[in-house]
Amino acid sequence: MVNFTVDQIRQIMDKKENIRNMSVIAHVDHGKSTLTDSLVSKAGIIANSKAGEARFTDTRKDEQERCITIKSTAISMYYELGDADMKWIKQTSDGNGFLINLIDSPGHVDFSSEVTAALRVTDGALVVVDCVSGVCVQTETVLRQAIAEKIKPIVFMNKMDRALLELQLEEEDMYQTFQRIVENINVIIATYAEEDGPMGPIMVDPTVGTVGFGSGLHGWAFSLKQFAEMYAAKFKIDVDKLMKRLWGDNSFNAKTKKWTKTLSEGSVRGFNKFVLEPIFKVFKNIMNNEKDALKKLVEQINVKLKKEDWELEGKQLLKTFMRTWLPAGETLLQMITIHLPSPVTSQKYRCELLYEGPMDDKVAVAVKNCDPNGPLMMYISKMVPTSDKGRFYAFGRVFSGKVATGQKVRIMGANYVPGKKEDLYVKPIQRTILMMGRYIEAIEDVPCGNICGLVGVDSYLVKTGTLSTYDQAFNMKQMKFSVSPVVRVAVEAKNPQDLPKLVEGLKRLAKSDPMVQCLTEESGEHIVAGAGELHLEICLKDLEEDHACIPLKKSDPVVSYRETVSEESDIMCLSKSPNKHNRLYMKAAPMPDGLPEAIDEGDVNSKQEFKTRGRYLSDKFNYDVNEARKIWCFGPESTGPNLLIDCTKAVQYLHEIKDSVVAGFQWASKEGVVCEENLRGVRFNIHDVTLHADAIHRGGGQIIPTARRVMYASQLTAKPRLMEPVYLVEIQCPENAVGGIYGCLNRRRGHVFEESQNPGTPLFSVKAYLPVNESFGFTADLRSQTGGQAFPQAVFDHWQVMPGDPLEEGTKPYKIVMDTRKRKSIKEEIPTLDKYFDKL
Amino acid sequence: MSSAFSSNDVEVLSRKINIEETLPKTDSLALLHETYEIPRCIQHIKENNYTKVALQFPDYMLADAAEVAYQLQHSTSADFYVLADTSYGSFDVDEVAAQHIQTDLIIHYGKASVVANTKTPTIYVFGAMKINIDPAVNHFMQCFPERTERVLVLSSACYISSLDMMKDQLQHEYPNLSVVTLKLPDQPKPDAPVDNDDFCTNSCPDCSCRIKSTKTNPETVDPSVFEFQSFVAKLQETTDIDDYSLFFIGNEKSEMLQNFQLQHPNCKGFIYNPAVEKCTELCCTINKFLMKRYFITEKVKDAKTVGILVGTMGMAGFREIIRHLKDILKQSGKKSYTFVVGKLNPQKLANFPEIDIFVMVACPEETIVDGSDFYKPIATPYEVEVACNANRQWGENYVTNFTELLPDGKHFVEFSPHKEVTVSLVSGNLRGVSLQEQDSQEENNQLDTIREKALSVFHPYSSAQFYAGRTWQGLEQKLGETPVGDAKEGRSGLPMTYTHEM
Repeated sequence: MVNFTVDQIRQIMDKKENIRNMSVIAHVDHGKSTLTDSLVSKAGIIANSKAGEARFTDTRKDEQERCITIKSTAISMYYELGDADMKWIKQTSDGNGFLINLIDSPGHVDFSSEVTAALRVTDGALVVVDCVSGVCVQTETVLRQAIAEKIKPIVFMNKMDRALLELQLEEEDMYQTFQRIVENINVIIATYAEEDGPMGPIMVDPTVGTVGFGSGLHGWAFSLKQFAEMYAAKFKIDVDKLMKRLWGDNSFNAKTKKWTKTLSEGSVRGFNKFVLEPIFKVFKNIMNNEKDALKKLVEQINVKLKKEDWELEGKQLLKTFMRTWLPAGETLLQMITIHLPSPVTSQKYRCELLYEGPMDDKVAVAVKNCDPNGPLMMYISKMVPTSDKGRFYAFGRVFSGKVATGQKVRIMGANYVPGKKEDLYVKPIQRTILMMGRYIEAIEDVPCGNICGLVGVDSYLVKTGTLSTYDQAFNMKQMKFSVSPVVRVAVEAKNPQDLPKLVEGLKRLAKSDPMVQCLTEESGEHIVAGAGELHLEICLKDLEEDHACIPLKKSDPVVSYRETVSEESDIMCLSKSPNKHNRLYMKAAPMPDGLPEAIDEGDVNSKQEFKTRGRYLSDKFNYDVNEARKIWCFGPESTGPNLLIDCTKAVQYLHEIKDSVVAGFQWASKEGVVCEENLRGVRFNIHDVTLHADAIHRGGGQIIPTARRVMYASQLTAKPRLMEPVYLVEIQCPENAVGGIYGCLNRRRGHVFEESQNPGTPLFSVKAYLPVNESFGFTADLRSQTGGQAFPQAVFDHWQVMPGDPLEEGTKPYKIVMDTRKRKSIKEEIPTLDKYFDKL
Repeated sequence: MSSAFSSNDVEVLSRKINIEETLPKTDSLALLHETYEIPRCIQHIKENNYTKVALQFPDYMLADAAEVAYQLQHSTSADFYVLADTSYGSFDVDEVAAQHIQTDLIIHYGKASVVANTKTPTIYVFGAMKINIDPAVNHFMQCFPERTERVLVLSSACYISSLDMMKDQLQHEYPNLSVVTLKLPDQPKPDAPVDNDDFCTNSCPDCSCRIKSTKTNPETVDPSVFEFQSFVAKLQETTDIDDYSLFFIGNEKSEMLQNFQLQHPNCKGFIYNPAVEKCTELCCTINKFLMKRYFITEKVKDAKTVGILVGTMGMAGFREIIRHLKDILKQSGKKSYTFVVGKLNPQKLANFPEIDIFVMVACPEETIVDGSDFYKPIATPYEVEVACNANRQWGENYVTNFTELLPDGKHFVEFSPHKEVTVSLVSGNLRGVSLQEQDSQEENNQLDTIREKALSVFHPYSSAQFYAGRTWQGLEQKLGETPVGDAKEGRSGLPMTYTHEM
């Protein structure tokens, strides 16, 4: 631990070249928090006043009880790199002292949104991989996100102790395991990153030192640099050249004392010989209690153990020994300071991705240069609850300028458009604070490149937002989450008089979590939607205990469904306006595969130029170019995955009723006819319209309800279907448990699409699709079926049409529709076609 | 659900009106006289020498209208007019229609909102219906086996005449019984304050025989007197209405029962429907209902433009409440418009898409409108108050009678606008601060450029802005684009049926 006064910390903050903002990301249980602990204990900054108090990283009680990270926590560290190592840094630097802002993120998929928020404010990522389990689904997800955010990754292979002690791997097997993980990671990087991108080479490579190995639990770690340094003098080869020989097929022939580029008879792989062999020896000697041999070894590798340490035995001795020999903190901090970019380096290439405005305006230039004297630009990525109920610290990163206490800033929300007043507030910042674990410390101002918290702006932001002092600044781009809130619970106040408290609590909950959605439905139900069962469980607990503080009634988890159609309407649907003078003719049709997803992704959107969009739709989805150009709008909320297309020819006054038809479309696509759920993947074609010649008879009052009716009729005649969300589940388990997994999945309408053995380990990994609706209690069920050996990770993957007609009694969709209608307290029978379809 | 949007031509003629009330049995003339209280009306007309009398019937009683009018005409010299289609709800005394023919008396039949304060003398005839006392008493005893139970007996206005008999039968057995009585408002003395001491005597002297008067002085409200709309009941000393169970006589779907439940959501009890002689337990759907209403409150908070619907012309204080609503909406930074559209339907209101939410100003029975068919939801004045007035808390009694929200009303709360910026759970966006604050923000905002000041001249939610967002902004001239041709004969006739369309 390093003790600093706030003034000292503030001084380091000014050296922007020497700042490293990084997040630790990994699959759940791969050992991020344990590893972070070893870093913090080495270099964590603790303000003088707080030194000696309780543990630093412990934030929430439930996190410790469950042994799982729920919220990401930011910690600052200070590290002085040795003079000799300074030459390794390929970017500009300013002195030896480095300020490292580390964010430890949760690994469970349900909390991926925390990872996204962490990545936004950092420049580099330490990807932790359990070398026994290998690259898992969440490793891939977070890595993909990191690359999309232009975050440079370095890798740490964790849990080597397990590989050695439990799996008893041989040296070559170990090398192969490492090699495969590096390859897997590079495959992911290659898939999602552009080659020759502005970030430079981002593939991880042990020979340059961007891959570390070790054990977070035992507190030891090394990269090839450490070993190369040990042998450099002996071989009289430069460290960087030697590092290359310690990986790949480079091998050393003990007899000839020569290096060769390929493996050949009599020679041993460099990595095995010079890196693994000593470690294996240490393990063997200690575990077999061969202290004499160990003493010899100690002299060879020059480890100074204290006297009392020799008293230890077995694992304890092993830990102490390895920690002394290859201290994890030192290795990792070297990797971080040497290989991860400073804000100065990273903002040059990240600016483009982060800023919505033109790349040559004042703000963009200041962000690119990380200019502390430029206008303030700060992105708030999440809200951290304060001890004061209902108030939050706005947590974020200063990208340019300085943020100071008392400074008046423009607070721009997601819907802010430059020049307009919507979603814009100009307010002073009450206080600027440093957030160090669970402690906060007031600070006068914070210059760009740093991460900090603000007091007094929380109420002007929904969850995230941009702060600036430049009046023409655009927004920083919104974060995109890799998970969707598909699991929902309806909460009710036991006493209706507590409704305002419940609503207030829901608002607080919504603020405190980047992902959770709290909404009130037309029926008056309050819905909390989260990424998964665990996420919801945590949210509801917080809601009841911390935010609302009233007794709640909670429904069982339900999933939200989507309504869609499976065929084009079999008849032309006609609806007449209430005054009978106007007629709308429409048909509904399903969208081709992939189009709803393209709309979700924003590849097809309402802001595109209509010709470009038309061309794209006709090329990719075989849409008629003329029709594709005449998209009236998207819906619901003007952005959703449903289309209203004008297929009419020469209809008089059509443009006059466009607004009204669009309003009807937004209404109908938000509340479908079957059970008032959102529509998805439906294309409504307006085929013909007859309108009254007199404008007064074709006003909104006549057209809006009629447009809704004709769309309902179109939906009913186009074989309506329900869509349900589907999880991608990854399960790792030993071979004998695989049978149990299959049984479990089959009972729940899941199907396995990939099954493979992790080479070199007895572990199998099974990938399957599982409807979210069937996933409740899946984890527990799986545990009991497999004797607790299988642990699933589920992440929302796609929407899937449910087989069966929701209008036909006895089918599963019908039952869902009935339940939904009942829950929403709407008339239970599905309306029939004749309510919407008019005869000529 | 959609039948409100459209109906075909035939249907208009054969439209079935949603009648939940049963028409009183009037198969014999005597019964007719009794139900419609014809002798009382005749006497009253004769005493006051009225010459023009309007008879206002609700839809469900229209079938008897001709016979009633005939009977009245037969015995008096006055002219009678039947007001068939009322401008607003049938609860309301339709003075405007009556004024067309300048009547000097209105006889209002059926369920009435007796809180209305009319300028024209009005007789309320509820369509007195008899209760079969014995089954009712039996049901009552089954419902409340415990003789010491505190029970409040409430009934629809049409059964009020039978309540006394029930009371007589039950009183000895149930010492803690409370039975409501009806208290009709004072007859019109324009601009005079409502005087409760002296009710109903000058214009309908008969009613005092039917209705027990509970003399309450408005200044010194007796806490043991329970008042609900125009019903009063004497409660036991030191008890609260929440200690009572309810025995309601009337239809399960009665608006009155709903209003009662809204104000006393925790009340338990039974509903006795004398028409089918069945007793059901009061179910607690009111919680769900309140949740729905709270959702609408949230919608009001989100709304930027509010339409005030005038749904009554007869109720005292409707002008004041409209003024009050306009005022609080303005102070909350919302625009408001006032609409007089008569009876509501979705197509009328959908003609104003720039309105985010409507507020219904009407009598307590009709102020709550189920808005599911409407393009935009419809709130009540109370909900607007809850949404805009920081001093008013949700959770107290739900107020359906808007007069109580006005200064001097018993639920009046000093207005103070919300100052906090909050997140809306409906739209997920932030809700703006009130107008004044934005303005003051404008003033001491050093960062604002002149360009922005120019923008701020417009009200941020003005209809001008809404208009600018429309794709079609009115008739286009298309100068030079339309080919020149001979003049043709245009359309003639009424828009509903132009001559060429017939």
